[in-house]
Amino acid sequence: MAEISPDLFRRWYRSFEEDTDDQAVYRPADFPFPPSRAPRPGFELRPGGAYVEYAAGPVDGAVASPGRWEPGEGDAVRVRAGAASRLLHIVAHDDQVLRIRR
Amino acid sequence: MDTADIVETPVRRRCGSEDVHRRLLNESLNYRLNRAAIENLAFAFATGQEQPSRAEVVTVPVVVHVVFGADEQNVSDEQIDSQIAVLNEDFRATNADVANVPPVWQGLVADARLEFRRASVDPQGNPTDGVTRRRTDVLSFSDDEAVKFTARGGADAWPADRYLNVWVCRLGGGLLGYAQFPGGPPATDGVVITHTGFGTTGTAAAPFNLGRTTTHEIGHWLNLFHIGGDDGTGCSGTDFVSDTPNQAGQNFGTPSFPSVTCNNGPDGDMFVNYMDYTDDAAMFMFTHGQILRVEACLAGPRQGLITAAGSPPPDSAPANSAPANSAPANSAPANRAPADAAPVGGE
Repeated sequence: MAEISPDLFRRWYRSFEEDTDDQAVYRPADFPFPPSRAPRPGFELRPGGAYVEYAAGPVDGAVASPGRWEPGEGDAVRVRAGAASRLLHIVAHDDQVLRIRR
Repeated sequence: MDTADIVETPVRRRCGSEDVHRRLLNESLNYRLNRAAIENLAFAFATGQEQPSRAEVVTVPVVVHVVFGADEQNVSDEQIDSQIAVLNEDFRATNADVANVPPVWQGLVADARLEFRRASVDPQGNPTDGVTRRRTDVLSFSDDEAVKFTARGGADAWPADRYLNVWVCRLGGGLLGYAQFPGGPPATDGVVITHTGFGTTGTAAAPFNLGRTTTHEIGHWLNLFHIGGDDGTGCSGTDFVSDTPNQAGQNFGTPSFPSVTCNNGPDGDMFVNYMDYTDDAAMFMFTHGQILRVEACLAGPRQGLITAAGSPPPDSAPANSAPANSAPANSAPANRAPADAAPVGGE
């Protein structure tokens, strides 16, 4: 993916309830998620290559791990945070939903 | 962890960015040093090297910052007071549902001897009702701390060594609330609660409409960890409390007793503990071991609250002068004169 859509430049929250066998579904903050004491994991793509990965933290907010993203081939975006690196294969997206191949 | 731990490496040298980078690194280092000292003190209390010496119930001055983007998020004074009433039961173990604690753990139920009251003196020394209200353009806040800063659409903290700051707003991502452990930056110290999980009336919505989100978050603010040990669903994590059973992950909903994990039978997980993740109607207790950590916190990083609460009120109501164990909970009249925050000259 040579360029990524500006729609993607936001924090995405995992919407487990909508996952399918082959897609992980993410939604923006204002999606009407069921309330939870546990923070939803997710990630954020920022213009210019900054990437932040969010995981459950000890005081109920998410712990943020900063990293970088870069375009991959085809529908892929390579993301790195800490020592981890992975490819996100973006199946579909708009400003309300992001679907990533599992 | 706090945002001070999030340090993005500057991609190129820019005016000012090195300074920001260094500041964040320094704050992070300070936080790590603070946390080590706090945990060392908690360990000393847990092992009996230090003993709780607090004789009296401490009343914590609370400021509630209501940050609303829509009128319904502008929670009423009644909703705020319903939350404070819950805290005054839960932190005195006078909550009616404590009777639902399984018999095997009834002996572990602990009175934190903490009470809460809306602050009546603001940081400048003026009378206050302990509530600040601000309309915002922010549709929903996240755990990025923006709600704690006026410049970011929220409301600045009051001095954290004298007040418990509670921010009430609309949190996005379905999050009910989040906290900050003691030892973090004062400007972000306190708890944040989504308005639908705050109090017991108004916009509070089931199954989180019994005020327990705030109890849980204040538990963190007083240095309590999740009883599941914050290692996902593993069995090696710990909450550094000896009388909570070792359990795998956090529990959700309203589990049935017993719920066995990590070979912790026959009694299983203590999902009735405020520091689990169960619904409001399913959590009822702190343990003695947890309250030892709270005592260490009050003897260490939060000792300013004891000072703030300890100055005698003008009418010297005797409620806090009786021995702690004989003072009935909530015995003070609601209009009791302030015993909280003395004027301070700003941070």
